[in-house]
Amino acid sequence: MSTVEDDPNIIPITREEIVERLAWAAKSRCGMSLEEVLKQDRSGKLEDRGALTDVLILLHLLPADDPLLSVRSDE
Amino acid sequence: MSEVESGRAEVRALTAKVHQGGRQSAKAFRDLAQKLLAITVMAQGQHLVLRPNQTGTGPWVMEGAHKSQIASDAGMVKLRDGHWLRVGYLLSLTANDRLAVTESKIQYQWTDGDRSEVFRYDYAYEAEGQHPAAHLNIHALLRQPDDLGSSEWPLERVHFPTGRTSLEQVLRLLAQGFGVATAKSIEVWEPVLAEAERMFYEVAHQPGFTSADAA
Repeated sequence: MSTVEDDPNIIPITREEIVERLAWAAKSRCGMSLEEVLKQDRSGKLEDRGALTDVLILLHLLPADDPLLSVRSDE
Repeated sequence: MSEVESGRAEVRALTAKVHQGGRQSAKAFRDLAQKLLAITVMAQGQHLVLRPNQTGTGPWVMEGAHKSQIASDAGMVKLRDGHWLRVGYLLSLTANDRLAVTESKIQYQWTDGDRSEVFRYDYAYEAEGQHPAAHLNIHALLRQPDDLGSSEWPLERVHFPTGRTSLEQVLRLLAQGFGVATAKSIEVWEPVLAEAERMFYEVAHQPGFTSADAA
């Protein structure tokens, strides 16, 4: 019996790729740095969060102690 | 068994696996979305992928497998009209091991780069900020004559509140509203989509419209 790990459509993503995609999207779609986007997201100030949803959800794949997740909000 | 009957049977089997919960339910969710896209508007050879976390026990991100060649951008599938669908779903297991969609984004766009959006459906289990938890953005200008001649308002800044919009509804919109060609005839894909959609709405969470809407 095959497992989910054998499925060719289950493809891990590296931390480096997550950071690269987040940084690109932050600059290209919002004209902001990655850090600024993360700060605004933490404080609920992102004007159009949906523009970045596809990359912000990738943060949920990182371990809880990842430094990206500890970026402080502006509050 | 006819193509419609076999398609509906496959959809029922996959949906049952999604509803069973556990790690396999995320895989079934991907397979179901792949099936619905493949019989409708998705170009041949395109596919969705599931991104696991380090433990493989969730959460997962389901997204399009296409990666842009000119930018650090990914998460799309090519459609049969040559344009693109950006698909991003955050999936997680609840305390009782059921699969839940925490956030989702489905965006029709002209190119596989940024700044070419046509429309976007967003959903979040809980509303954040001032926008409705489920909403539609349309990237266009509203044109209305006024006393000074004319005015234009960028609709992309407006978040039209919606109920929970299914993937099936978006696929219908693309096929019938935007004229995107489909892999199967409507006589085949519509009953299959309808079956999947019926089972989706039996269990789908419907969000409130604002973060203050707790009733």
